[in-house]
Amino acid sequence: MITEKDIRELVESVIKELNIKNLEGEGNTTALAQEIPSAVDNCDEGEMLPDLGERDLSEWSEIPSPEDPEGLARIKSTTPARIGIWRAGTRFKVDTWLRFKMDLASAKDAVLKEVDSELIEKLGLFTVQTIVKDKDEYLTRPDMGRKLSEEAKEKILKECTKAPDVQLVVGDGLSSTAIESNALDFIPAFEEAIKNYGLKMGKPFFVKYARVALMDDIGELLNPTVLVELVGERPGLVTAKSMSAYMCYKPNKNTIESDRTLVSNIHDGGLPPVEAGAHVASVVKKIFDAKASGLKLNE
Amino acid sequence: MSKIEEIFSVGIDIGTTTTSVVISKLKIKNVASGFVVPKIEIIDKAIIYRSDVYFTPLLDEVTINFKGIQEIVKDEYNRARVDMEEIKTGAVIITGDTARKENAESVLKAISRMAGSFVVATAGPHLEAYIAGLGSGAAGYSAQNHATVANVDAGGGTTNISIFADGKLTATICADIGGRLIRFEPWTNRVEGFISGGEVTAQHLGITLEKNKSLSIRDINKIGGVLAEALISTLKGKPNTLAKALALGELVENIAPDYVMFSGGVGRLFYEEDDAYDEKTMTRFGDLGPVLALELKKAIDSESIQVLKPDETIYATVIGAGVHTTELSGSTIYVSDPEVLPFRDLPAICLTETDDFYDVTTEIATKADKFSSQDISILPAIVVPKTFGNSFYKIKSLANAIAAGTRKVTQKGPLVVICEDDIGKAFGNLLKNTLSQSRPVISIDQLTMKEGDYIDIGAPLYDGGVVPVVIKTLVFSNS
Repeated sequence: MITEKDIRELVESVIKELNIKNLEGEGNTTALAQEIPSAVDNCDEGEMLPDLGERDLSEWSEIPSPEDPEGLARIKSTTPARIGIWRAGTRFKVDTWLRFKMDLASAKDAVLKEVDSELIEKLGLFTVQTIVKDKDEYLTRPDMGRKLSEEAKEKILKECTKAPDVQLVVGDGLSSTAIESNALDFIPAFEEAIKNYGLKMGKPFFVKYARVALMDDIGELLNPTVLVELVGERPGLVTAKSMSAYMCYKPNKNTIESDRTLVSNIHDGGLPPVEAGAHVASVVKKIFDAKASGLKLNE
Repeated sequence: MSKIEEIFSVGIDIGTTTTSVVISKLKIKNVASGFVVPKIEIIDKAIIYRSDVYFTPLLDEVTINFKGIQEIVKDEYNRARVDMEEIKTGAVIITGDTARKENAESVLKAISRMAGSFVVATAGPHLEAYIAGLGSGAAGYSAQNHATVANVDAGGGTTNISIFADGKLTATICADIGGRLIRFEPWTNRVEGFISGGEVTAQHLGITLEKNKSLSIRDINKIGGVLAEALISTLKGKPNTLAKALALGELVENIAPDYVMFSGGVGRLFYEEDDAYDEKTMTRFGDLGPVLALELKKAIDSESIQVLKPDETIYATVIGAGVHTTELSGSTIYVSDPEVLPFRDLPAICLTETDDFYDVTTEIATKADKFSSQDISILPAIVVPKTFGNSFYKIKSLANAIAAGTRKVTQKGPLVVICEDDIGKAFGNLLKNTLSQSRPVISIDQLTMKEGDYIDIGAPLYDGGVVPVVIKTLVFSNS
């Protein structure tokens, strides 16, 4: 039988031991903190905390005294992945953890926020919507993001000419941030190049709550030779700004996924949007001439 | 899987003593995965043919025998079973003392034109030093091991040192040191001739050089010894008196290479097993080569610099020229009229970053004017630095400014733009639409050039995806 006294003694001895360990632990923490002052320690009263979002992930290492700093910098420079960020016990350090939470938050924002209507106006686009009613429905019913509403069809038929050589459509997809960061540079560069190829371009427009395969529905309606749909890519923890351009030769209700041609990774850290505009235009020209897109284009 | 395109590349080295030809096969491939923009790169370089090493044919002391060289090249192409038309790229380099011959420039140009559709002409001791460093493997070793490596290319008339840190060229040094500063009747000590470097060295030692007179073995050894000493002192960045007297252009101080490789003819002897050096074998090639190599071996032994064996010795320059000089442009480019290519020796003018685009117009007009007086009918290539940014608004304004600039210049013909940033295709399209007079537009990107550099641009490869370029520059990372 274990008596109450035994338990008390046991607990007391454990607590005593814990205190000793804690003291040692504190000593360690202080030593480390002196070596590498964290963002919080660096601040005097009244000063602003540094913006961890500004730190370049491909340069940010927290390894206290690396054996080969130049070698570490070389490895870091090859990737924005979170390597060499060190640890506190088994956990992240505070600064890197905060940055992680920040990137996660901006990824969520990119999915949940709407594309700024002022920007759409600045781009000279008109807006239509799929049969989706709101963000919740959009995220839970991918099938509904592939169909234009009756209202949208009417508006498109009123505004656009039928059967252009090239029709450009901008959709929000899974990242409003991607459209906001890239469309302004992409679209005019795309238009310049299309003009240079001597192709006729239809009036571009913006579709709210759009998925990639929406292009099939638009194809049925407008019958363009080549349709280009820009969509925001599902954001990751490195960037929420990445945009894709999907292209298809005469998309229609029988189009399958392998009929589409894709250029992805359009953002400042990938293919710059300006150059992407010109590059996508050259792919459009290739599709136009070959009368085929997707896997059929490579045959 | 994307396809692999194979092209032949030639290197021709016309040196003080020897001439050689190397043919290699470059493999070009789009290495990007499916859904991203193409990234066309040279994925493999293989040497498929090496010629013999010929004595450079001369008509007399100051004239190169053009016909002789032409014959060597033709014969070697035959032996390699390669047609001239198949040679898509490469370089001719005229090196050492031969570059100072009276007809050097015209020979260089003529050979580069006959050797293939895009074979560039290169010359100049500093470029030669760099190319030898690429060919010997010094640049590669430096990049792989993150070390500072010096390549000492010791030839007949000159020695060219290139220093690479982390694979990047940091300095080049050239000197009138070489195996053929003094020529002897082979296997004897009788002097047959000498060039100025030989005279300077002899004077430095108080030895008189005279044609047809014999030198004592002691003197020959002494000459080799001081030349080696001068070279090592230069390599250490602490040039002695003789090194200063023999230097070509500026010497570089405070260099501290960890490793050294020797290439060139003297380099080859450097790595050969010691022969018993006696009176006769010493001059078996009719020059100072063997004694210089031996003395270099002795002198470097006492230094802290570690000696490496190069991939190539006597072929280093020709392989550097043939295999390593061609680069590819970025993979999204704009070429409105491919038939206007290739361009040879296009000078570059570099735009100064500014917010007032009127400045750009003025800058182009002023700088282009300097070249219009020369025998160049084409506009210099306009280099757009990264600092101009890549927003559409910015590049649109820049295209307008450049278009306005081209209206003010006298040169007709194509407009060549070189963008540092990945914007070549977009910028080319914009320029084409902006220009009021119709000119062919060539806009390539992801290349770095400086004011005063020259560029050669070849016809597009890989279905128009890239152009091969050779930039003639010496980009020092420390300047």
